[in-house]
Parts: sequence; C-alpha cells; structure tokens
Amino acid sequence: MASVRHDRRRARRPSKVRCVGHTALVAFVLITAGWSSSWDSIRAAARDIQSIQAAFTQEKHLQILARPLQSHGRLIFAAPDRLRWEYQSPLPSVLLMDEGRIQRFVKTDDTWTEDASAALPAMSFVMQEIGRWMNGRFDENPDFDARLESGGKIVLPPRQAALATVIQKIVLQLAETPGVIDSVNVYEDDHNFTRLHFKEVAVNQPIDPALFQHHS
Amino acid sequence: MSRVRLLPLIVLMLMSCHSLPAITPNGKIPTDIEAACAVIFPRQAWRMVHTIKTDFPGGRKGVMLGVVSLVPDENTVECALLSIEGLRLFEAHDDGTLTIRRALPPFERPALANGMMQDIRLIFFRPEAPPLTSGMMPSGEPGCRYALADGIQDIVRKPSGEMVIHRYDEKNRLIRRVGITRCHPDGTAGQEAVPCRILLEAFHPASYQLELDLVEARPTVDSP
Repeated sequence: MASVRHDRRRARRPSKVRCVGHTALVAFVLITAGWSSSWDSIRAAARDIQSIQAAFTQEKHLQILARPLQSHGRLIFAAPDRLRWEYQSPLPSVLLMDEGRIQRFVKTDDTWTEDASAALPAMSFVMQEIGRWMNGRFDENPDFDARLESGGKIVLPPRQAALATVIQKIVLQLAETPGVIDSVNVYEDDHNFTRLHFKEVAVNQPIDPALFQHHS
Repeated sequence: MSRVRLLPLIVLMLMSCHSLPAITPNGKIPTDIEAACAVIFPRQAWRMVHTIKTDFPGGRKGVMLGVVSLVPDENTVECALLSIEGLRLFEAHDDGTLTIRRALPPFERPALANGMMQDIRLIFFRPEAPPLTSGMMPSGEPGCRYALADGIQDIVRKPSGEMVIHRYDEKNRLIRRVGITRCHPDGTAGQEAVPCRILLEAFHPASYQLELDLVEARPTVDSP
C-alpha cells in the first residue's frame, strides 16, 4: 500500500510539472514557430533585419568522395541587397554582390585577383537567390515551387525539368532567431549535395560598407 | 629569280617542321632514371582534391576545385570539377569510354570534356608501354622517352627533384608541359607520394595554364 500511495504522490506531482512543461513547450513553439509559420510572418521578420553576419561550415558530399569535403568561411549581408560570401579555406576567396554587380576574387600569393571562371554565371544565379532569402522572399523566385513546412523548414523544388537536372531541391532550416537561417542543403541529385551550417550569427550589428567592395 | 621566289617557301617549310630534342646515352645517367620516370604516376587507387587556378589568354583567371578518383590497375578515372562554393560543374567517368554524368555550360562542349580527360590522364597515368629510351636531354638533365599512339612523351628529372612531362603530338609539336612535385600529404604515412603541386601549360590547340595544389588525398584502399 505504502508503495502505492508513494506512487500516487509521484504520479500527481508530475502532472503539474507536465502541465508547466507543456505550457513552456507551447510558448516555446509559438515563439520559435511564430516568425516561421507563414510567408507573411517570415517577410515581416526579415523587414527588421538590417544586417546579418555569420560563420559557416560547408560540407560537399560527392558520390566519388568517401568523406565530405569541408570548407569554412563567413557570410555578411546588409539589407537590401549587399552580400559578401567569403571562404577562408581551402582556398581564400570572396564573392561580392553590391547593387546587382557580382564579382569573385581569389587570394593567390597574398594578392587578390578577380576570378573569371566558368562557374561565375551559375554563382550569380545562386547569389541572387541568397539575396532573396535574406529579405525573407523565399517564395518569389518563379523557378522554384516554394513550400513552407512545419518547424520552419522550407523546401524549394525547381518547377522546370531543365533546372531540376542541375538542382534537385533546396532545403532551408530557419533558426529560432527571427530572420535567420540555420542551415541550407542544396541537393544536386540523390548522391551529391552541399550542406551549409551557419553559426556565431550576429544580427543588426554595424557593418563597414567597404566589405562589399572589391579588393583590386 | 625562281630561286628567290622559292626562298620564302623553303623558309616556311623549315619553320613548319618540328623536331624532338635529342636524347643521348652520353653523360652520367642515373641508374634509377626509368624508375624515377615511372614513379611520378600513382600506382595505387587514390581520391584527391586539388585547387585549380586557371590562366587563360588575355589575363583572365579562374579558380575551381578538382576531384579525381583514380584506379590505375583498372585504367579508370572519375573526376569532378566544382566551383569554390561547391557547385558541381562537371563530372565524368572514364574507363576507356568517356561517360559524362554532369556538364554545366561551358563544360557541355565535347571537345572541352575530352581535352580535360586527356590532361588528367597525362598528369596521373603512366604511358602504357615502357620507355623507348632513356638518357640525357639537351638541357643536361636525365629523362625517359615514351612512344605513344599519337606522339611522344618525355619525362625529365630536374635538379630540384621536380619531374617535367613534355608531350609532343604526331607532328612533334610540344603541346603540353607538366611540372609535377610530389609529397606525402597528412594522414598518408606509409603510402606512396602523390602529386601535390602540378603546373600544366597547354600550347596547342588551345593555350592555357593550370596550377593545381593538393587539398587532400586519401587512398581508396589502404595498402597492406
């Protein structure tokens, strides 16, 4: 009996704890899901973003590589359309988007050289897309059929078959902080994809405009 | 008068004739030169990632990442070209038959894909036949000469230890020069050395320069 009474007491107490826990969980979900629950709320949150700075780790998963290839860098955004996408390793390089102009510079032997590689046109497309995301306009690119899922997950499958041969889909995970993206997965096909994870995120800190201008 | 008319024609003909540098059995030829020529090419299966800096005529420059997976025993190579941001621009498999798995512009051009695979084979694969001859080059450096189906390939050992491949076409025109410096990357102790720094200069039919630096190398199957 004693053990039964003890069990009842124990059973009663957790119900309060559970209640408080549930309330906290609901509040947490409302707070975190609040800004990511609709396209409108996402755009509203993005309107408060003047700048974002973050470090990132990039993992390139390739079928022909046993282990993913890692890169590290920093991303800096200033509203409405200035972006600096910088890699520190394996090769120091920086992609700059300033007033619609996109340039890449590569550091070789302590000097920055403008890069004119074949990849630049494709990267211009990517940079413009990132610029839209930073403004909360995930659903505005007609090339993608944007879908907002629960938990702040955004899935962007291409509408056209031609683009689908290049990118199968993009999956973005929104962070708890309003206006901030936690990770981006770009799937080229079932076996090859790129994963970007952002950390050390600073929102609305002052940014030197010179960071978006080219080095040469 | 007719002799005077013929002179420009003779000069033109002489200019269009190309000759290979003489390779002679004279001088102090290292006994291990043929082994040294062969050893620059990986013997075991490797996966390697290099940064690739490209110099095009007109001063244009480009940078990409190159991934190769080599199986020399099977004469097979898989390769991928990535933008620095990780976008896969090109991927192909070549086991004697070239299969292009992905090619974004401008890599969808067959000539570009074929030329790229030929460059990869020149850098990483040993000529099929043993050397035709070995000896001293006119520069005073030891080297080996290989006969290929469509030309000649010389491999020369520099005093610095760098090995340089000279590739001539069937008209004896120098079409590629490749400098290779090998190293043991981190985590590959006990394995063969691999090409760490590669400088490829292309002269014909197109002119360009590629500078490759090793990012990482892993043996596909560990040596026993």
